[in-house]
Amino acid sequence: MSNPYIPKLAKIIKIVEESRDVKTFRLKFMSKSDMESFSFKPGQFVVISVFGIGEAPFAVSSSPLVREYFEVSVRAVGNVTRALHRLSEGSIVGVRGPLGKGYPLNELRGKNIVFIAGGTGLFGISALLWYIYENRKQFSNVMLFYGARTPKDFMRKYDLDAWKERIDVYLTVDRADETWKGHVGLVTSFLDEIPLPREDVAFIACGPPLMLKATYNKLRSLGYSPSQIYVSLERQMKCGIGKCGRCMLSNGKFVCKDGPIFRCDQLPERDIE
Amino acid sequence: MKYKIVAPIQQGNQVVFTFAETPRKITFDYIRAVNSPKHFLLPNRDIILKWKFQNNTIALEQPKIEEKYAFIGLHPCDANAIAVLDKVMLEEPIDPYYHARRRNSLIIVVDCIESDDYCFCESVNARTPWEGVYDLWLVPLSEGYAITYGSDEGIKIIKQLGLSETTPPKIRRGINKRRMPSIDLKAFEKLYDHVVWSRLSDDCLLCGSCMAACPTCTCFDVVDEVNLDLSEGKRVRIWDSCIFRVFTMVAGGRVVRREPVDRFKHRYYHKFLYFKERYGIYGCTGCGRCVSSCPRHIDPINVITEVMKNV
Repeated sequence: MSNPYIPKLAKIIKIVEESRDVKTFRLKFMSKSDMESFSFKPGQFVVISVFGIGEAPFAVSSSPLVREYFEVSVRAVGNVTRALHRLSEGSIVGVRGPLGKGYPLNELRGKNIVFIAGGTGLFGISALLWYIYENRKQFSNVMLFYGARTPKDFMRKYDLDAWKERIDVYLTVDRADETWKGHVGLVTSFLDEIPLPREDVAFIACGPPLMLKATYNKLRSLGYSPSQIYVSLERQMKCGIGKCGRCMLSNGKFVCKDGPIFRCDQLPERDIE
Repeated sequence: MKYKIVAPIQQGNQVVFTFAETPRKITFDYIRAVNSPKHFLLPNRDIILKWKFQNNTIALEQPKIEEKYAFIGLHPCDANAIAVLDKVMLEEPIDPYYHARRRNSLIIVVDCIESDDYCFCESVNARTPWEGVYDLWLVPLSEGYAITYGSDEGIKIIKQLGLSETTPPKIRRGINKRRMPSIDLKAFEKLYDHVVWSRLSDDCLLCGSCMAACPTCTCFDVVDEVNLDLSEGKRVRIWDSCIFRVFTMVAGGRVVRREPVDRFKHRYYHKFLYFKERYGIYGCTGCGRCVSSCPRHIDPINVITEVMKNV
């Protein structure tokens, strides 16, 4: 029987500084066969171990079509994330996963897709954005609304530039600086200003709890139904496999095992945060 | 390998499941042991991973489980509690540590003779041991015991001891002194935001005793522990409770179930609604330990009664 608690070893082969407190780690499994067998669906996550400190879950933020390595992007906010930030290229970490269900690609194909991301929430959808970028014909109109605190806080800028070729990207900041010529204001207020698809649309939201709730309420007030809105939830996790109980929602579903992506008609409204 | 016998043993004024060195110490005349089979099958501070830093890499080691337990004298509620643990721990992906101990276990149920004020097994369909839970099921008669097997291992023991199997006698209902109202799941679900929960949760000290005593609570924390020179370490899972504030705290300090009432009712909704919906049985077998261990004697019968009054 395979043991779901035993991580596989991976080496950090590249570190990119996204902002003052966010880094992207490019990882490659130490064993060739581990790397070859690692394939994930957009929206799935991995649990990273810093041995001696602990484990934490992260969305895989690189393209699912890249098979030579994968990336997780990490804001230094807790014990494990701070420890990760202290590591350097060549350091070894443990990896469990991919875990979770990921985005229901079959439900999304053929639809208009509207992404709404706040801050580091981009990491939860970047794999799907890459999937859509590579399979653009399978989807109708695709828009990305992305809000950050300041122009310096946009994540994966190198990806944003690529996506712009095939996806309509709308950026906004809470606070502009002298370089910023674009939109200023919350990402939700942006939704009033740009015409959104009315039919056959799926909204995909990922971001901090308040932004997620505000986005949901905004879309509801614009007349969209909960079944058209997908959210990615962040909860405390220890096992990632539906045993430790920490990520359980108020309908008994596990964020780790039944999510972390949920369609809002399958979720009590109080859990959308 | 030989079984280690785990049995109810009188220690001072309480009965404890512990290793029986001699059969003379075992008692079947008890209502409720302080601890439960969970203490052996899903022990607190279970090591789930070991590692060692060596030659610029890390050697990982999977702890081996070799325990082989024979539980003798479990009451039906505690045997059924193992079936509840099975639902969570043996659901894919299977928990290998629980699975190893569980697979090696022998379970001999001895029926109870009486209930006290805290027992409510009859209200949660746990008065008799469920099929597949036990190897042997003994029911005390006026003279001797009726004995029924539930597994091949059980048959082997009956044969080896030269006993003959009897069909289990009809278990008389009404052993419990109190009953919980039946729970209409849809109605129960709708009461999630009802104010009655605030009043009920005001009594709770948020101490977590109920979790430690509960034979079906499975939630845990995971902690890394290292030796002094940091060259090696182990990953340990530690019992945890959804009643604690930090249980749902994410990095950055956000707490999902912020208020005591959010956490208090979560435990009830998990055991009496979510578990039933997901697995078809309640996540509670009515053993009454949560009441006996609670400093305020908060009683699920009272809680569910008070809540269901508002339907």
